[in-house]
Amino acid sequence: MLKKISIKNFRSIENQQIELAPLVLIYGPTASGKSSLLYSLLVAKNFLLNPNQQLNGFFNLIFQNLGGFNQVVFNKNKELKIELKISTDDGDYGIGFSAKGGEVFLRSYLNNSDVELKGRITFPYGLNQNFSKTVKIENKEFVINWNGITANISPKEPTAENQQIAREIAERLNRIPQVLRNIDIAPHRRGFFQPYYTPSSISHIPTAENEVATIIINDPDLAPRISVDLEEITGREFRLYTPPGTSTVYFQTVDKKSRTPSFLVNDGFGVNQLVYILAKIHRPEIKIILIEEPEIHLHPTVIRLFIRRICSIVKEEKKQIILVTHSETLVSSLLVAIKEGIISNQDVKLYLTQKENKATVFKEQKVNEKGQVEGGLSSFMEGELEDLKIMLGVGK
Amino acid sequence: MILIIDEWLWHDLAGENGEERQKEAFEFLMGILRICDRIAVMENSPFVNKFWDFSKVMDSKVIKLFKNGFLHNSDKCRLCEYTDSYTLPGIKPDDLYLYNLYCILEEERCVITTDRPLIEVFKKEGLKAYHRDEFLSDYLRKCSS
Repeated sequence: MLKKISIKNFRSIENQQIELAPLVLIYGPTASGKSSLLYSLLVAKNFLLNPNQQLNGFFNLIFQNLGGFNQVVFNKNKELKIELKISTDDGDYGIGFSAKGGEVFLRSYLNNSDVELKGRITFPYGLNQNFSKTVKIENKEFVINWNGITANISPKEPTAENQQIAREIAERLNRIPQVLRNIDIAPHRRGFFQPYYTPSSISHIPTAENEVATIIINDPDLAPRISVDLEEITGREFRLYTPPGTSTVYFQTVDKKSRTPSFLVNDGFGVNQLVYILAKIHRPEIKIILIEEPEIHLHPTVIRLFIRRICSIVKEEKKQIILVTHSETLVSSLLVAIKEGIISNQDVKLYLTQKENKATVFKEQKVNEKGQVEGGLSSFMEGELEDLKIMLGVGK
Repeated sequence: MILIIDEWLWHDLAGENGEERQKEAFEFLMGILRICDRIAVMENSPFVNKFWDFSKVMDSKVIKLFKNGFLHNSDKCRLCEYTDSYTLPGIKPDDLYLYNLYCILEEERCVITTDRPLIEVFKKEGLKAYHRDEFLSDYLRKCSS
């Protein structure tokens, strides 16, 4: 699980440290920089999965090309360095991107020794550099060789016990950046627009409908899992149908009340995009799911049921979910779920994003066990209060 | 200061007692949001039950103000579980929640009501209780200065 993310000079974020929890909800006004947190994680994932590309390539998220370094560096100041750092239980991992090249950073606390590795790289980076460091752990010396992503550790005295310690250290160090591999996103642009699909190849950020359809088709457990949740949220089952002798798979839903099956593409678009989101959430290899505005096309009653289901998934399946929303219903329903004990307030972080001058600020609003937040949900009522003042003639 | 308010708030906000009182009630809530005071709300009390009744007919903007500005706001609302452990002779059963709230809160607090006999019962016990009209008149002046 991600414990914290630190972002410097990325899009509208100048310098922010954001503590995370199993469920993170980010809300705020339009264009206040909410999605930048999600995108920063995908840029870091891009580096991890393919460091051997030009600097601008890291900012192509496939579903959305952010336009290269010059377009995403804070204030379009090309002299600045974009820094993205993640913190996990095992330690910290960071990447720096600048016009002159990059930097990588890894830190972990191993048996009372603070191990820190860092190095400069140039893009494209073929993992051909080696940053070495000798560390003393339990009075034994180990040499760490790190290429910016993967570490190999060898003991100075290669006894069986020391080899075992070296393996454990390597595992721990390598686990830190690997967290990024297990991130997936359900971006704004999502859904299924065809009645049937045939399996296709999948990229490392699979967001196109064919890719997500392929994920569903290839995993025999996925459609039933989606169906269980979809039924709880919308009263519909989700089914796959493959005509004999073909590789074509039809996506269907069945309305439980009317017992009427239909192609998913003919069902409401809210149902359609819920299938997409649930497919992302239930991918077994994915541990961290980023969701942009899950409320799109959903009725408030469905939003309420959706967030309750999300709370259960976070709790029962140990997935970390980071949501970006404009929906008062979604935030309010989450707070009620906390009061009901569906999720603990300790497992939730709520952030209000605001722009201060040009920069995005993630303001944490602590949530108590009664579903109350520091400062209330004032951001959702500013416009309405102005209307009320006018209607009641207040301040005339 | 924690303000313990009774059901007059909803009647006023719904406009049942005229436009002037409706406006005052709205300004009162806005005033609490602006300055350091907060309100106390007891779950399942006549106050919240009245809010529930009025929420079906009142302007949704007012509902939103109370929900987002107070109920979900730990800085502005002390949400208390229902209790009727404390009794005081002379208080009607429906008003007992006001006395119970008074007893369970430890911070500086006062009751704001339109029920003059209730104010007398509170004052006899040395507890702070004010009539809605007098309190709001001072409070709104304080808020606007």
